[in-house]
Amino acid sequence: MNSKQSLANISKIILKNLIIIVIFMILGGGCAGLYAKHKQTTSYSARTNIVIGHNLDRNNYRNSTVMSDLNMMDTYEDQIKDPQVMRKAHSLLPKKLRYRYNVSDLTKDTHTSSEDHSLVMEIRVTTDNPNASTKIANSVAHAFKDEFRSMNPSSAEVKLLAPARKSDAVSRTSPSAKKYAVLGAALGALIGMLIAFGWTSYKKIN
Amino acid sequence: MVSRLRNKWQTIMNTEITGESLYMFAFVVVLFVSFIINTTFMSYLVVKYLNYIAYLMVGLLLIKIVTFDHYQWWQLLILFGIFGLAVISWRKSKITSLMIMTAFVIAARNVDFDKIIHTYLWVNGILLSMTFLYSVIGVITNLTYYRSRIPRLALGIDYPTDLAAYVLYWIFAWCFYHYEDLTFRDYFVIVIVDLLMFLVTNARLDGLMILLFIITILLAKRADSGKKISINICKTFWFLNIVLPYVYFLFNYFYSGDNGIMRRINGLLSGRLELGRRGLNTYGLTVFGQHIAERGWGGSSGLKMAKKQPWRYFFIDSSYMRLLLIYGLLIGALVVVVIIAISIRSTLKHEYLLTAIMLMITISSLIDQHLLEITFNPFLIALLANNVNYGVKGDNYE
Repeated sequence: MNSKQSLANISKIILKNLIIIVIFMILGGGCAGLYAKHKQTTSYSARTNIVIGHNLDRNNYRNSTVMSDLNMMDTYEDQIKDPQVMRKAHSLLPKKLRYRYNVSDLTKDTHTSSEDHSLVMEIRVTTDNPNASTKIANSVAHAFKDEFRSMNPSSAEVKLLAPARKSDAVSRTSPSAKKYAVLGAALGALIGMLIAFGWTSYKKIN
Repeated sequence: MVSRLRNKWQTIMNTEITGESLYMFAFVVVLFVSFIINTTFMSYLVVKYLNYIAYLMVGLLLIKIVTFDHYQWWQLLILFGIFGLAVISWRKSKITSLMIMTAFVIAARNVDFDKIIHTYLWVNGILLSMTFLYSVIGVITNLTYYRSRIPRLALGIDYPTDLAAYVLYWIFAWCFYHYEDLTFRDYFVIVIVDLLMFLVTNARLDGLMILLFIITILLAKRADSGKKISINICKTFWFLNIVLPYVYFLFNYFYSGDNGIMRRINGLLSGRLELGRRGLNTYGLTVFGQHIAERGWGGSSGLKMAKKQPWRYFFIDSSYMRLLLIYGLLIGALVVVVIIAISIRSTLKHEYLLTAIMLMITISSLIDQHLLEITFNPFLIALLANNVNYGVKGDNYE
């Protein structure tokens, strides 16, 4: 079967089948956009920072103390997600929030992170309500400070930095309907091209 | 108006479905679906549903075998037995590609192999070029990896080396399809494409492979036109398909970090020997296959791991090591038999193109995992397909 297609042939095929491609693009874009719109939720993230370290004034080994504190940061990140801290955080919440979110919700919605070489830990809480995110972030920070000594027999301390504020909560709406519409259109165009090619080959053979 | 519609409907309903058209339909769908799974479209899609579409097509193929292919009962038994083995392997290893490839190989009776390659060229051609375009304009992510300051772009595919492999296999298919008309201009274009691919992906092994392929194709052409030495060289290709994998396995098995030569070769192969050895140690060989938890570089999650935790990488790149470790010895043996069968049959017919391509696929599969992935390698279908032979200009072989 001779198949050295010239550019002219290819453009003819594309033009003839452009309608199919465009239809599928619209279909794809429309379906994906509607799906994204349907699944759209807005979440709110509140964050607060804490510092965990030793008091260096009464310390003769300052450098190694700081080094060891830095090395502990990953451990502290895991400790905050421990049920001991999460339960305490839950108990610190106002009654209404305590009913709406249980301990596992808190664990799921809390995210801890720290930069390399930094004793500052960020506690970020994401829920569907800015007030809840703020209150939960602050209570997790307080809970960790309260439970710290029992979990870490060292003389390190947790210092709370600025508490999270509702007005600072960051909102995020996802998925983005526009982005999904573009993706859907892209996939639709692909499918349209394949169908166009398939149909053309099929007609050529039969 | 209504009667015209009714007539149209009648014509549609009365069109004859042949086994071949059913097969080609399933082929196009699976090519599309498996390709999408290898792109960064997957950040937005769920693999599960795409796999369901592929399974549906596999079902269609099985129906084709039973209704269109007119096998004797004992032939059907063998085919379904082999398919059953593939299903067991699929359940154990949790990887779908083997089962899908098996379905396409065993359902290929009375399907024109030329049409298959032609379809593969068009479908993958459209998909690849559109994916490049989409990734460049930003519809999907264009993952960028770094190898000591050299950027490696994946252009919409989930890893640069996979992109290189797509180009490599596409060139195999293109040369197969246009074998009789290949001119020096074509080879020149291939070298340019190879260079471009290397600039984009920095995939060294695939770059070399394309050059090796040009040499092999030239050898095959010389053999086809009767040059004695070339014929003798090409006649050795079929058993290289078992010797090379075996030697590679030995390298993996006896790999030791203490041996300087081994370390050097391991370095040239980007650590594949060491990973193979680790796989053998940790998982061992099985008969029916096993699940191995792998963490590859591909996709957005792979890129994240490459940047933050590169020591967690564990992936068996070599298709042959995968056959031993993941798919099981039984399936591994079967696949090698299929490759050798295709190669020997071609050699016996004094047609050296397919045997050359099989050898190249074997060599490539020593270091990449695409042997059993239909989106890369359509050549195993040649086992049962029609019209696998071809006539070289001016010669007429039976």
